[in-house]
Amino acid sequence: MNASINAGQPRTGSFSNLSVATKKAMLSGSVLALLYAVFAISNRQFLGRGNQINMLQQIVTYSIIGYGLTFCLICGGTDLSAGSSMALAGIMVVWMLRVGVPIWVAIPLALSMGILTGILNGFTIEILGVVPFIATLGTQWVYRGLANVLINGNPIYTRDIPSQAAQDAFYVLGGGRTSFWLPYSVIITFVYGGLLALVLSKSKVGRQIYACGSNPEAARLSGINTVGTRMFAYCVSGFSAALCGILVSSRLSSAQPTAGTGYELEAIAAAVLGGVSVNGGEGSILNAMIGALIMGVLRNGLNLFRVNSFWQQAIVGFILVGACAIEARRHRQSA
Amino acid sequence: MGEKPFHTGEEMVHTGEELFRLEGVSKSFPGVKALDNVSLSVNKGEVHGLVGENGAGKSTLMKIMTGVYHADAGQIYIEGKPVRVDSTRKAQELGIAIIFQELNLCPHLTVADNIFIGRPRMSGPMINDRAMHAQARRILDELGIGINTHTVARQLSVAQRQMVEIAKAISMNSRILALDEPTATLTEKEIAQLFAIIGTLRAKGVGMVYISHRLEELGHICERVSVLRDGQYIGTRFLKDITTQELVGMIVGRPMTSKFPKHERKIGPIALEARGVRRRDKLNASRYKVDVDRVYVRSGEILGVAGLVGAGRTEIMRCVFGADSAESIELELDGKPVKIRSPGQAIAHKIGYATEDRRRDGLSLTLDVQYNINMAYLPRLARFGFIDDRAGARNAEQYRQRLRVKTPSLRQITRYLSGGNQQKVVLAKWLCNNVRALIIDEPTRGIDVGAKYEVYELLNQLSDAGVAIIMISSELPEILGMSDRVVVIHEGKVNGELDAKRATQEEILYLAAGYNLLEGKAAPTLSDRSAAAV
Repeated sequence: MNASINAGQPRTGSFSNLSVATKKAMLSGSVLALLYAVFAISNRQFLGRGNQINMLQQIVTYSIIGYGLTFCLICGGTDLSAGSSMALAGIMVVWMLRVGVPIWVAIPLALSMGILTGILNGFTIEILGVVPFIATLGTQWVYRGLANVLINGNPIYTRDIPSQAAQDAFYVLGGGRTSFWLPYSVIITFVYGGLLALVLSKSKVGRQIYACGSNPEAARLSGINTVGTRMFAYCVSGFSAALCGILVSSRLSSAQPTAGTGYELEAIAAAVLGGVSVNGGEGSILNAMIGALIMGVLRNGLNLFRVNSFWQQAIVGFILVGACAIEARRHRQSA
Repeated sequence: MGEKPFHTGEEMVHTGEELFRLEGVSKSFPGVKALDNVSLSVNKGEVHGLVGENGAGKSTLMKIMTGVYHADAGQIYIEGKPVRVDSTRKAQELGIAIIFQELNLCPHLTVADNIFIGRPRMSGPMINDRAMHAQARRILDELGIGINTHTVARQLSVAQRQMVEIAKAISMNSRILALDEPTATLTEKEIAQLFAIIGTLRAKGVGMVYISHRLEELGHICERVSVLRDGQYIGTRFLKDITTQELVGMIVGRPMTSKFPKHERKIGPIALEARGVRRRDKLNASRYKVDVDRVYVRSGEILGVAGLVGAGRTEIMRCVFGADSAESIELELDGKPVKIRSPGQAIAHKIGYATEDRRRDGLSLTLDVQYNINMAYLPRLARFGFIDDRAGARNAEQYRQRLRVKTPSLRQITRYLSGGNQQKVVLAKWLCNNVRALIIDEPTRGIDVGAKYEVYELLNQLSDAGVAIIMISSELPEILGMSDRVVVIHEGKVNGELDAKRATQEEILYLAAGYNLLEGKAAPTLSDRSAAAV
C-alpha cells in the first residue's frame, strides 16, 4: 500500500511539506538575491541610496497591480483591464481635485471607481459568461475610452488644482518621503501587500479563491459561492489598479489617458516570474512581490549598464518565457 | 456468489501457442520497488486477466510493456524471440498497444481521423479522405462496430470511444493489446458489446492483457489470471480451478471471508424525501432527464440507487443537492419542507454529496489534504472572515485518523494519494460537517479491494450514527451487499423498489432495462442464481 502513496512521487521530507507556492518563492527569491548580488558587485552606483530608492519606487506599479492580478490568476481568471482602470482612477482623482472636491472625498471615490470596474469585469465574466481573457480585453478598451472621454484625450495637471494645500497634500502620497528618504508609496506598497497576503492566506474568501482556481466544480459542490468569490478577486484587482493610478498621478503631478498602458501584462509577467501559476490554484502575494522585485532589479541594473530599453524589453521577454517553460516542465512531470 | 467457481462453462476459444512473454521484470522508482521479478505470458487468442490492488504494479507493468518505462531488469519475448521495447514507437512497431482508462481521442476530429491520426492516408501531398474513411469502415466492420466514420469523437459515448481506440490499435496491426479497466464506465449492454469485440479479436489471434477490478467479469472472458501484490508476482491460475475467495485472498494477501461487512441496521423515520423532481434533458428539451415522483431515505438507512449508466441517477441526486436546478422539486428534511437552491444551502441543511468522479469534481487535486478536508467546513473555521488554522489542522487530523487516510502529512498534495485514500479525503470532507444525509455516488469506483472494505465499514458506522445514506452504484453486488432498500432508475424515473435482502442482480437488471416486475412478467433467467432466489 505504501507503494501506492509514494510511487514515482516526491519523497517525503521537511522540504516537500512546503506548499508549491512557498517552494517557488524560495526559488525565485534566490534568483532575486543572485541578480542583486551580481549587480551590486559589478556596478558601484547600484547600491547607492538614490538608486536603491529609485528602484523601489519603480516597482510600486508592478507590485500593486500584480497583487490584484495574483488574486485573479489564483482563482483561475485574468484581468487585462488593470492598466486602463489605473489610468481611469488617476484621471478621476485629479479631475475631481481640480473641480474642488476635497481630497478625503476624491480618493475614496476614485478607489470605489476601481471596485466598480472590478464589479463590471466580474459581471461580464460570471453573469454574462464571457471568458475572462476576452471580457477584460473588452473592458480594457471601455475604461481607456472613458478615461479619454473624461478629459478629451489631453493630460491634466495637478498644478491646476485651485487649492495649494490640496496640491501639496496630494503630492505627498506618491512623491513624498519619510525623514529617512523612504517614499510613502513604497511603504504603502509593502503595507498593502501585507494586508492582501493576510486576506489571501488566512481569510475565508482567500481559501475560497484557491479552491475556485484549483477545481471550480469541486468548490461549488462544497458549498462555496464561486461567483461571489471570483467577483471579489476582480474587485481586488480593480481596487489595486485604482490605488496604483492614484499613486502614479500623485508622483507625476499629472494624469494621462495613456498612463498604465500594458502595465497589466508587466504585472502578470512579474507575478508569473515570482511563481504564481497561470493555471490557477497556486501562488501567493509573496510570489507577486518577489516577481516585481526581480523585474525592478533587472530593469534598474540593465539601465545602469546602459543597455538600451529595446534590448531590455527583449531580455525581460526571454526571461519570462524561460520561467514559464520551467513551470510547464514541472506541470508535465507532476501530471 | 463467493462459492461459485469463476469458469462459467461456456465454450472457450481455443488458445494457441505463446505470443508474448515478460520474464523477471523489475522496476524501481526512487524509494519504491514498483515491480520485483514479475513474469507474465500471453498466448495467441488469449485474454489474460491481470488483477491486483491499486498500487500493486499493474500500470507500471503495462507501461513497461508499451515502452513508456524501461525495466531495470528482465526480458520481453515475442513468439519466443527476445525483443527490446525501449520506446513507445518501438512497441507500436512490434504490435503492442494499450487502451488506457482515460481515452485519448481528439474530441473535434472524426472517427476516421482519430483512427489514422499521425499517419493519414495520402494521395500526393493531399489527404485522401475517401480512402481513409473506406479503410476505417473496413476495420470497424471487421470488428463488428457500427459507428459512422464521419462522426466527431466528442459526440460518441464512452463505450464508442473505447471501440474507436481499439479500432485504432488494430489499424496499426497490433497483435498484443492491453486493456486497462475497460468496463469501469460501461453499462451492462455496452460491456456485452465490448466482450463481443474482444471475441472477434481472439479469433484473429490477438493476445490481450485484461486489467480489471471487477472480478466477476474475468470469468466471462479470461481463461487464466495473474495476480500482482505490492509489486510482487503472486501467481497465475486457471480460473476454472479457483474460487472468488481464493482469488481475493491472493490479491489482498489475507483470506477475506466476505466482501461486505455484516451489519444489522436500526432504521428510523424518513430523513430526506424528494417529491416531484423534474428536470429537462439538456440535449433534448422535449423529454425529461429526471422525472421522479417520490424518493426518500430513512435515518440510519442505506438506500441503493441502481440503474444503467446514463439513466439519470446522478442527475436526480444533483437536483436534490441543489447542484443542478430542477424545474420542480419539493424537499422535506425530517418532516419539514426545505428549499435548496444551491450546494451551499444543502450543506447548511447538513446534506453532503460525494461525487462520482473524485478527480473531476470531488477534490482540488493541486491543493493539500488538509485544505480538501476543510473545504466544506470553512464557514465554521472562520472568525470574522479569517480562518483559524489550528482548528483546521485539528479537524483534518482528527478525520485523517478516523478514516485512516494514508498520507505522509496533511500537507501532501491530494493528487499524489492513491484512489482509495482520495476517496477517504472526500468522505472526510463530508463527515466533518456532521451530515444528516449523505449522497454518495459510486463510492468504490476505481479503488482497491482493501480500501473498498474500509469504505463499506465507514458507511456502516455512519448509518449506525443515524445518518441517512443514498448510495448510487453501478456495481450490483455492492448495491445488494450494502443497501437496505434499492430503487432502480430507468430513463429518469423510479422503475421499481426492492428489498435488498431478497432482491437479485437479475431483478435489478430487469427493472433497469425498463421492464416492470409488477406487470407480472417474470425476470429473464440469466443464470441459476435468479432461479434460486425466486
